[in-house]
Amino acid sequence: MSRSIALLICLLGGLTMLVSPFLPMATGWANEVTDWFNILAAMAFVLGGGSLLKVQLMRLSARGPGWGYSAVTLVAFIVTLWVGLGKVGVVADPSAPAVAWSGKPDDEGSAFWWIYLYVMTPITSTLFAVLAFYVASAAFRAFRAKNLEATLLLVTAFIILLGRTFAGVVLTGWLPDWASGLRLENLAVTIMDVFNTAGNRAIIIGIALGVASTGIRLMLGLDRSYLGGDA
Amino acid sequence: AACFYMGCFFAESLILAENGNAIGAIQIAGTAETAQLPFFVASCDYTLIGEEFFAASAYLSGAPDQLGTLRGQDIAKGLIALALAGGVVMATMKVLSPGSVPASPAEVAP
Repeated sequence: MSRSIALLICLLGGLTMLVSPFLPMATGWANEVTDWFNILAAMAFVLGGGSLLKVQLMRLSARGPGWGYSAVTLVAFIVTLWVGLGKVGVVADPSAPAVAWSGKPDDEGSAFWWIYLYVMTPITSTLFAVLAFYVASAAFRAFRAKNLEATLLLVTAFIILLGRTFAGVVLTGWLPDWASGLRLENLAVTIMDVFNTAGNRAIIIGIALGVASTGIRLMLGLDRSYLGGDA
Repeated sequence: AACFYMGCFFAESLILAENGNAIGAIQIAGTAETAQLPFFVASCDYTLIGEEFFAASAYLSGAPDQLGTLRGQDIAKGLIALALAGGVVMATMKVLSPGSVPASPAEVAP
């Protein structure tokens, strides 16, 4: 029974979103569905938080490898949650100065804002800085000319890499005007505008069809994997 | 070990995939985000590109009614390809026909 209700909600929600662009009177219905989706997504955040707590607490109590990371995760999670929900250090909104909690939790000067600016942002920047090395490592493996496709990838990558830097101009700037299309900077533009655009569009068309096909499967109840179990 | 990355992982995908590679895991990724694809193609053993990502569930289920939607998808793709080819031919004929004026930038799709 509960599965039938879930399937019915999926069908009605999907149909509403499907007809809303073509039926002006359905625009309000689509907004209603979107609101419900946002409410469900908020509930999913609560579930996700609970799951995170459970997993990290289990790892911490088992003292398995890397339990220290679990401790850090738990402390960071609890402190951020407390600071955000409790609106610690939030400055009262000018429209209601007598009410201490009237400001937004992420307003400048609040503890939440401080954590984001001085903890989250530096950590994110560090993570992205490390990415340069991961890119180099992944590129080294991907660009090994072991077959025709990998060789094409390697050659294309080098043309784009050189064409997007001044090295391309220096290396092929001597080519006469009638062969200017072969200059690396122009080759890079051609590859991006012609081959890359064509490939991208083909993939996007495929994705659009895939989304439509998946939507039909879900709405008709053919694909019930999202319900979990042996649905 | 095997690692499956399905969805959008943004730039962090490289961190995950490189660590997976470091431990010798076979890695299968799938995403519908075109900006995400290069990261996965470069770092994973197998990548489900675009529509393959959506087709995987139906393909693995093997159920005829689900596989039918994939068949429909392929037919639609063929029709779109025909429409595109027809459009290209007609646009070329318009440009090459005597007395035609070149298309203005506003007429060209972005």
